[in-house]
Amino acid sequence: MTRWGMVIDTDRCTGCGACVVACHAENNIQTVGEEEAKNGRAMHWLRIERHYEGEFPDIRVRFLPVLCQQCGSAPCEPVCPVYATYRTPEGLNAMVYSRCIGTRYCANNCPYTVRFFNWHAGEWPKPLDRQLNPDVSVRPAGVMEKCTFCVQRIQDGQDRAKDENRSVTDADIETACSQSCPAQAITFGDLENSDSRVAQMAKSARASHLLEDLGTDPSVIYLLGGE
Amino acid sequence: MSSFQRSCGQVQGLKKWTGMLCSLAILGCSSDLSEAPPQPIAFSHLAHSENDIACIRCHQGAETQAQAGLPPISSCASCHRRAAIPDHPEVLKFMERLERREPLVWGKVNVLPASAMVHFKHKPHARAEVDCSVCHGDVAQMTVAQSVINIADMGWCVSCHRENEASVDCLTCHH
Repeated sequence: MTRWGMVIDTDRCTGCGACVVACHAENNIQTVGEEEAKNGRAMHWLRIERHYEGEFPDIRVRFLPVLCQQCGSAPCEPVCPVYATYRTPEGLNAMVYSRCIGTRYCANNCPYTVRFFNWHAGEWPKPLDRQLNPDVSVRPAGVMEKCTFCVQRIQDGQDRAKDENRSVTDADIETACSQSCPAQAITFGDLENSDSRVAQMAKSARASHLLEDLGTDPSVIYLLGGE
Repeated sequence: MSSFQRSCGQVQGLKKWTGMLCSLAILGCSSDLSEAPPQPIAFSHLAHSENDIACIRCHQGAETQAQAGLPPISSCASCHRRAAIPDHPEVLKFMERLERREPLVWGKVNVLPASAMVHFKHKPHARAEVDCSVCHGDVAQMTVAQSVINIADMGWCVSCHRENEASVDCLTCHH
């Protein structure tokens, strides 16, 4: 069995935002503009939260990249009336755009607020449309979207491994965010494979889940920052 | 923005959405299998297969890429310029285009509905040794290429995937 997972080392994150940009570029995520952002409709599958500790001037900033936690027991799934979001056999929280009817129940039920509704269709005026990733659908208006753990890259890695008649290794798959992180704060892999980097890192004493007490069983593991 | 304006925005969003649903329904009903799309020249697959030219010779991506692809007319010319019926009126048509450096814009025979947001890949199907004719019909015997299955019917894909124990996870194709 496979369970795709991610480990984010918060001690390494400098909050540079390279992952956010990479995610936008890889996944054809629209930029909604100033007005819509004011309405709370900004779309970032991956965002960097800033947390301030201490009193000025003895202040410390901690950064927390937050994305879909690909929960094992996802609150977004049972509320979808059309089964557009469900758990895949590989442990992904799938989002099927062509099935989504836009009730937005899933986004309302997500404790991590990582689901985004397309209030308008994205626009890529020429020649910007040439930057669109052909392996990822451009979502129309009225559809929910969220981090997919770069499922197109997962499939690509699996395809290559299959060509060579072997099983998938850590080296085959890297998400756009982990690839772009200059501090290597983000690691992606199979949590069920004891040889994978993520499985090793998940054993760390610093390992923690976001909003753990909700019992959502996330696939994203945060290594908490030291003092 | 007031709450009224905001709700107006929602209604507009809904209208758009309903419109999309309607167009989806129309798309679903309007597939006419017997109708072949118009083509820039009267290309005959039959004439080529009779000369033992395999599908892969021209559709070169079929085994290695997502899209099987179509050859540029320069590769047609590589055979037709001297050896293969260089005086045929249809050959002359595209040779003329080649001289003017204008591409042939072929009519797409099998079109996946854009609303399905499917990322079909030829490569894994070729790897699983699915013959071209399973989905494309016996194109080798067709004078005018036309679709033989309703490509917009997901049931067609899923039943074959089930029979062959291929993945039937939605994300495999829709992402």
